[in-house]
Amino acid sequence: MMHDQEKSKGNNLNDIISVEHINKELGKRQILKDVTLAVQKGDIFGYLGPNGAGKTTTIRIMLGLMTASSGKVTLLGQDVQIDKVRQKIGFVLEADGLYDNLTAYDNLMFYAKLYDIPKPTQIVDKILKQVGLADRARDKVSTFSKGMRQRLALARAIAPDPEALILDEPTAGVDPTGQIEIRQLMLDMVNKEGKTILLSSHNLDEVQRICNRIALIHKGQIRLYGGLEQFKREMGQGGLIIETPEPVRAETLTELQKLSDVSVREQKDGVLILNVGKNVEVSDIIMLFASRGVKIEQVKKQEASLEEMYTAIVKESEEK
Amino acid sequence: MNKIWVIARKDISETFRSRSTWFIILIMIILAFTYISGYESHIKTLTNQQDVNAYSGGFLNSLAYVLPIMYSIFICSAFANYAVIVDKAKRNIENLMATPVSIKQIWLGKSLAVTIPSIMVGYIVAILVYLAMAIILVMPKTHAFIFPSILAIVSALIIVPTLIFSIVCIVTYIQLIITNPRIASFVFSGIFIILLFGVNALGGFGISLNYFVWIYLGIAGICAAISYFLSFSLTKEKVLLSSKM
Repeated sequence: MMHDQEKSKGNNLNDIISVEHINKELGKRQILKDVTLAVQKGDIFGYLGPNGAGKTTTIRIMLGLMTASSGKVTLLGQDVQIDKVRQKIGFVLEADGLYDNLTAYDNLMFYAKLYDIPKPTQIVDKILKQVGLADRARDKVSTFSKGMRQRLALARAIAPDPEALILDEPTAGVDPTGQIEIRQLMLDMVNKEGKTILLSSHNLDEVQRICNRIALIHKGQIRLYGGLEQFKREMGQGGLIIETPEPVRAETLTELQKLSDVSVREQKDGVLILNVGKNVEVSDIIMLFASRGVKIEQVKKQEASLEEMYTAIVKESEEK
Repeated sequence: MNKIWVIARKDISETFRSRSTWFIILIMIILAFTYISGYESHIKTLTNQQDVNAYSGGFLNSLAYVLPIMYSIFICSAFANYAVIVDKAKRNIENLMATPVSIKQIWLGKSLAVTIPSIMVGYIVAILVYLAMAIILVMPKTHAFIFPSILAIVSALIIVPTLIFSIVCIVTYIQLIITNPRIASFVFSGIFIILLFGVNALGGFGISLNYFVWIYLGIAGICAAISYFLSFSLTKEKVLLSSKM
């Protein structure tokens, strides 16, 4: 599912990251096939996909670590291969890139100098406070937990005051409290500081909570691309939970499924869960039950989750 | 240039925080004992004081030529681990390449990070060993302190660093682009062995040690030319794909 207006989008002035029709081959293997996406100013853009789908390769191309076999990638309107462009892009990669033998402070100072940050000592002190590591500034990174390392990697990403952040699983291995803090930090960066974030994640709940737009890549191809809310609307209401005093009889369920876009997900202990499409009127279902003498105690709507969308799309492309 | 120094300084600081660095320095000092036995066994055969003085002068001069480069190369093989191999194994190099730094700056930074501490440590140990040999071993026989020749000093101060840096550039390049960067350490080991045995071999052929200056210069020139041509083929993608993915 891809919105036409999104698919045909060219390089727009609002595009902070623009990927246009890129292909990537490594040997005989095609890693990316005609990938097009744009991350616009103020977006928290969720980049989803199973392992090996091509997410990391896309990110590596965005950061100039790899070159696309064909197609064009720009950051802030400039070719990604120009090293200076990355001055305005912060990143967190799968490997955190921190030096174990150096302290947290020295790690940040090292990167601050590579980014030519003016007054780096003040900035580093401020950022360490921001990510809650000020009291561990002089400790070697080798003594840090995974969560602390992730926070330090995020500190490194935001230290140069970048216009955009490319974050690959920034909350991986972080405890729930830490995850909430990192999410809040990301939201603040976008809402208060006007930054833009591309967030690659396996955590669909996280993406659903904070992203406004998403792209789903599978087997090197973009399968879903656009606004998250719009997808939810298009996917339909998701589920309908109907509680009944007695289990609904099989004949009634068969008749129910004759309605278009309705299927039974499960029935257990007087709770019937239906998958319903966007054009289905709940009143039609209630009327049908009433005509068959089924008593209804409660009806609840269940919104289509990103997880359902994700699973459906991945399954669909697996079957192709 | 600034970013090259930033990379080099960070790697150098990491190198000196490691215990293995100090272990290597100890090994180098122990290696110096092989020269003591060689000198002692030959000097016993000499009866004439003039012969003793001449042999002692030649002996110390050869040390002045060989020790700085031999020790520096030996340390290079260990320090190169920190600069490239560990960085690739931990995938820190991927993060480094994603910063606004070019691959050539990284290459030069890493090469300097290996060259500078190697030369510093190599020289300090070489000077200490030379002084120990000259004062404790040779002075009781010659009754005078023997300074190395001017050419040996020029070689140590100018030509050796140039040669070391040009060799390190090639080895660093190999380490950056091959999947098993430890293979590149064999290059250092090879050079070390050639130097260790080459001096004796050249001496055996009656070739003056002063020729070392020209040999060093020739090798440095060839390595610099090779590095220049290699620089065109180095890309971030090559480094990334040869790293642990």
